[in-house]
Amino acid sequence: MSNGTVLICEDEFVVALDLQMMIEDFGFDTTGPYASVEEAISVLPGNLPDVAVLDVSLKDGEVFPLADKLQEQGVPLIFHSGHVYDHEIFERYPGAACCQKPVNMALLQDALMERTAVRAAS
Amino acid sequence: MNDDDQKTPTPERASDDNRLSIVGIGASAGGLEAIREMLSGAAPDNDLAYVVVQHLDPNHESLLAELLARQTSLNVRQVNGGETIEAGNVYIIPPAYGLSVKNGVLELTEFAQPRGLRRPIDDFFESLAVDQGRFAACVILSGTGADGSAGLRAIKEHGGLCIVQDPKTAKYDGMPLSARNTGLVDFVRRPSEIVETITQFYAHSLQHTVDAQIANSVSDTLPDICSVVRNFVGHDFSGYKTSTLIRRVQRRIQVLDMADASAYLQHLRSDPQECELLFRDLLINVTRFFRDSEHFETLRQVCVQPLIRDARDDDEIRVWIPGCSSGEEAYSLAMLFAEEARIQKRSVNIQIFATDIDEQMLRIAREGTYPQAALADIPEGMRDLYSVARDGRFQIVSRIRDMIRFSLHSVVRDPPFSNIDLVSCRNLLIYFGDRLQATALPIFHYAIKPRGILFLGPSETVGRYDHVFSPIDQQARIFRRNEGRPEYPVHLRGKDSNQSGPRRRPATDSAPSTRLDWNDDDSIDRLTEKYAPPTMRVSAAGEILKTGGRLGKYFDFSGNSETNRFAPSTARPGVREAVSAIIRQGARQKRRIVSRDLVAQSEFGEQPFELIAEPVGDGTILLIFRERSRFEPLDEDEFEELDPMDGHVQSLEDELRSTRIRLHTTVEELETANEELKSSNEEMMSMNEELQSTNEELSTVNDELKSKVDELSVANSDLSNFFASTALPLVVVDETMEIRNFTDAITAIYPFRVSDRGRPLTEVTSTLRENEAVLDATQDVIADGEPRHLRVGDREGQRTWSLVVTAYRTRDGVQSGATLVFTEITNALRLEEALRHEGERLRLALDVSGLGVWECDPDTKTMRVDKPGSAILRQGEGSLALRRFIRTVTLEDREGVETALNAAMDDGRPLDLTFRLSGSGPRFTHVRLVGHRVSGQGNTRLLGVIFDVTNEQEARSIREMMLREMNHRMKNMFSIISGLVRLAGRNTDDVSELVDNIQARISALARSHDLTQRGPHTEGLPFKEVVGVALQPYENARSDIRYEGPSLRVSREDLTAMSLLLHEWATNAAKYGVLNASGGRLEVTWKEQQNGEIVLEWNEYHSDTVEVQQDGSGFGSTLIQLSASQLNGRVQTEVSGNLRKMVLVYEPQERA
Repeated sequence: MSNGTVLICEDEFVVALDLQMMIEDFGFDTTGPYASVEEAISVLPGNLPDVAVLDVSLKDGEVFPLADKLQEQGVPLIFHSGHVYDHEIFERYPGAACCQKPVNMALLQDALMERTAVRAAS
Repeated sequence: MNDDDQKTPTPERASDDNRLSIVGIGASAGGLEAIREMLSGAAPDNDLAYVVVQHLDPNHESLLAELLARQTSLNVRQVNGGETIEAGNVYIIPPAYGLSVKNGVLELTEFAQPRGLRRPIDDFFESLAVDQGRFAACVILSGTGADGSAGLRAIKEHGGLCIVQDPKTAKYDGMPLSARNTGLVDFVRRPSEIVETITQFYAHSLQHTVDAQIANSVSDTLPDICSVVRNFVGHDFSGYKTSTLIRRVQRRIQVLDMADASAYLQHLRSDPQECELLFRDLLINVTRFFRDSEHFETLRQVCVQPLIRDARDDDEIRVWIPGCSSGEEAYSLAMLFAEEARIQKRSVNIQIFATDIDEQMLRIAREGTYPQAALADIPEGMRDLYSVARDGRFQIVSRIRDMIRFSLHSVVRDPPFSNIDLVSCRNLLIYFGDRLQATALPIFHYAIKPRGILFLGPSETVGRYDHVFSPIDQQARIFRRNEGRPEYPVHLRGKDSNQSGPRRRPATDSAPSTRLDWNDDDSIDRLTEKYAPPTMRVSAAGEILKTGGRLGKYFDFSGNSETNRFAPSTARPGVREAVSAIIRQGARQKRRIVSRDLVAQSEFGEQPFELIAEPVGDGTILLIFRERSRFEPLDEDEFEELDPMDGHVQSLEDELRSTRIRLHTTVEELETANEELKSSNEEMMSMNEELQSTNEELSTVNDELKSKVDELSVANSDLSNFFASTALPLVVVDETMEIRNFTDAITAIYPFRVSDRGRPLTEVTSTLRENEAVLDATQDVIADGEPRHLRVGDREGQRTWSLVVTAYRTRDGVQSGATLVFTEITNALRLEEALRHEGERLRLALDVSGLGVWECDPDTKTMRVDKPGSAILRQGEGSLALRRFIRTVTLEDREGVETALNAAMDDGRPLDLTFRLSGSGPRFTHVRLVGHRVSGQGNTRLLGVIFDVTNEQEARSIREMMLREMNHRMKNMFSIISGLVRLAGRNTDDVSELVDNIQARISALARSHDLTQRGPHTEGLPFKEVVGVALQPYENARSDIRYEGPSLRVSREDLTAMSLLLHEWATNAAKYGVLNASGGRLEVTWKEQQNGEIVLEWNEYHSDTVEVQQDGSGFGSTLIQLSASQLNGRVQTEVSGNLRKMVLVYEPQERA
């Protein structure tokens, strides 16, 4: 039984693969990983994930246009970033989590579980 | 004088004709200048001597004599007392003393009055007038107040000359104006013309014969002159003392510079103005408040007090003051009465009549305003009560003025007042001749009520009227009228109409004739003529005063008129003895006496009679002849029977009579002589009068002069102190370059000694290098008056002075020399030099550092910025308004700048802020402003530096950006490594293999990362290097490795994926093929296709046929696939024979 679907955006292929496998290990279905914002946005309609793990800086720029769309749709966000500080994210996306690179498995798992649990409860 | 000599036949001037004339000069404030001007033209060789009476400070030494001596050729000296005045000398009054002259000898007098009330000029003029008469001249010069005005009156009265400085030329015109306003001044002249005027005036006097001539001609024409004056002015002076009249007319002649009296008479007839002037001159007299104050005190006790005390409430006290002149006497009496009434607390009606013949004087009197100086004459207690100050003068209060009625009235011409309690007629009678005096006294007798009081001047007497006026106080000349019936002075009736033509000279008038004129009423005359017994009134001496009835039987009036005057001389035989006896007895006993059984014998017969002597109240005796029986005519025989004894008696009596007559004549002559003596004494006394009328006013003004002298002394001592103590070297030279003065400090430059004063500056050695230039400059300044500035140094070059040479000017602005002032500037120059060095260094530092200096003045709200600062702010150099400075700051930073500036200004907080300048460029200029508050010299300002920090600011932001990027990459790399580790962990259980693989991959990543550090990589890395790095671990293998291709580049974004892909290929090649020891060949090529895709070919030429093998480790191929997809490309592997070929086709991309 899947814990839910996780959208992954990460342009670095090694990291993306690692994330994907890790999240699948946590018991989630994944969609992606997508290396560009454009690509991720194009698949959104009809495939709304339960939670999204987003690298901030992607091939075609920062991830915020996608994050905005996801937030509009009520998708909890987990930012996976090397250069964005928590408070900037919190200001813009209240309720979002931040996982600094390189990723800490336990933290990511907690964040994912927490987000999906909240979502399931609501 | 020459003119005069030509006009008149030159008389020989004997030595005693050179009569000295003394000129008294009165001056006060501003007088010195006038005296100098006046005396500078005076020649020592005419017969004039000058006495200068100046108001001087008693406590201050006078420099007047010294100052004057420089201006005149006359001999000037200060008086010590006892000098005999001699021609050609100027005598100066000493301080603290008054001056008087007696018999031509100067005497010092002590002042009686306190300072401020002294009138030394009046005092001296009066003594001069008395002593020198018409040889006294007075000159009144500049000064304030009125001193001298009273004195000139005295001079004039004694026939002297009076000249006043033209008030327009006087520095202070108070004294000249006051003198001129007396109307008595002969000449008003500029100071320089005065001496000439005096000389001309005395040209007459100095020639004795001419003088006498004039005097004679005046006495001849005097009746005519009097008549002209009477016709014009209506007042008859013919009864006045001839000597006074002659003197005054003669004065006018001299003033007008005329030859003799007839010319003057001519002038007088043609010029009514002159009549007026003469009239005024004739009336000159001196008066003042409470004149002879002790006499007034006596009057108060014997007259005023009883009058007030005894007056009933409805009584009126009547007082008459004939000849009141300018009213002082009238006011004195009025005050005396008012004061007494006040003391006795009585309210009494007091009426005072004050009369004079001079309307002008009456006007002054009515106004009641007098110079302040006269206030001193009023007793202290009355001053405040009865006077009010008014414009430097004082006025009698209206209460007193209302008591007095001033009117035009002549004592001897107009009907007198009557029922008067007190007549005060002081110093009027002394001007009257005997006849006028004899007229005036009966008038007073008539006017004064019985037991009333007559108050005369100290040198006046009631003369022969001592039987009707008995003295109360002889000293004070206070008399009481007797009880006798007032007799109206008959001569007043119709006198004016009777008088025409020249009058007889008064000297020929004999007093007794007036008495014989006495008449009574006609009916009484008739009664006594026809019905009463014959009577005769005689004096105690037997002089016939009056007769009544037919006396022919008793007296024989046939003799000469002289013998007819005495009763015993004219009595007939039989009467004579009785008359002589009874007069003698009657005069002694003052009782009625009868002599009976007398027989009067005449040529015609005998008449028996009784003789009654009736003493009348005034000391005369009335003789009444009462007939006892009929007259018996004489027979013819009687002639023969005449007793020879009778003849003897007769001759004895005749002899006695003639002896008596001779005696009488002698007595008369003696009396006349006595009268003359008395009158000249009176004249002397009257001259003395004026001595007393002094004016003390002006000594206060003198304080001005004194204070000026004091100031001058102080200034002088200041100056000498300054010269002695100043460190300022200074030399004063006169116009010939001779040293006039120098300060002690000058010795550093000129080695002066005291004896060098007066030496030419050119002769004195100096330590100056530029001595010649200094002398030249001094010459130039003396020549043109323009100041010169020089910088001079000493010969050693140790010291430097700034020299200013200015023109030396005397007080009147005349240039007379030059002043050299040296100011040492050695230290200043050194300091200046040091400062300049310091300044240069500072400037250099500022220039190098690009610092600008600014200064902000909070008061004027301005900011001053130097040149570099202005360049930084891109503003014009100089000062700019604070507002404008704020506008150079970008909008966002403005508030901060303003706040910081204010804080620095208000709290003294140090200022350090960086801001951007306003502007639109992409690059903002960053400016840093550092400064702090500086206080000093009353103002506070901000001072600091400004500099451009744009470059530093940019470098910093770049550094921050780089750091951020580095951090990002590091994190990315860690993520990749962590991902690789985790992925590798999923595919193997063999730890050592895992470690090897990961280590190899990290090394590959690290090598490719090294590439990024080798240079600028904005355009990516060369393909050859990327491949070379991947193959680096195998370079030592024996395998043949080649990699070749066009100079394409691998973008930074693609580098990681490319490196990993190449690493996996190389690892596989090393494990399975060409790169291991088995031998083989590796060729790597790359090219760009037309569609922009890059094709990378990896050809492994194996030594053996390549076996188809599985894709090695699964993870390795996963990585290859992932890398390819990351590169947005694809990988193909072909194996044919011993060639194993792998191809990557991808689309190179730049990060968006």
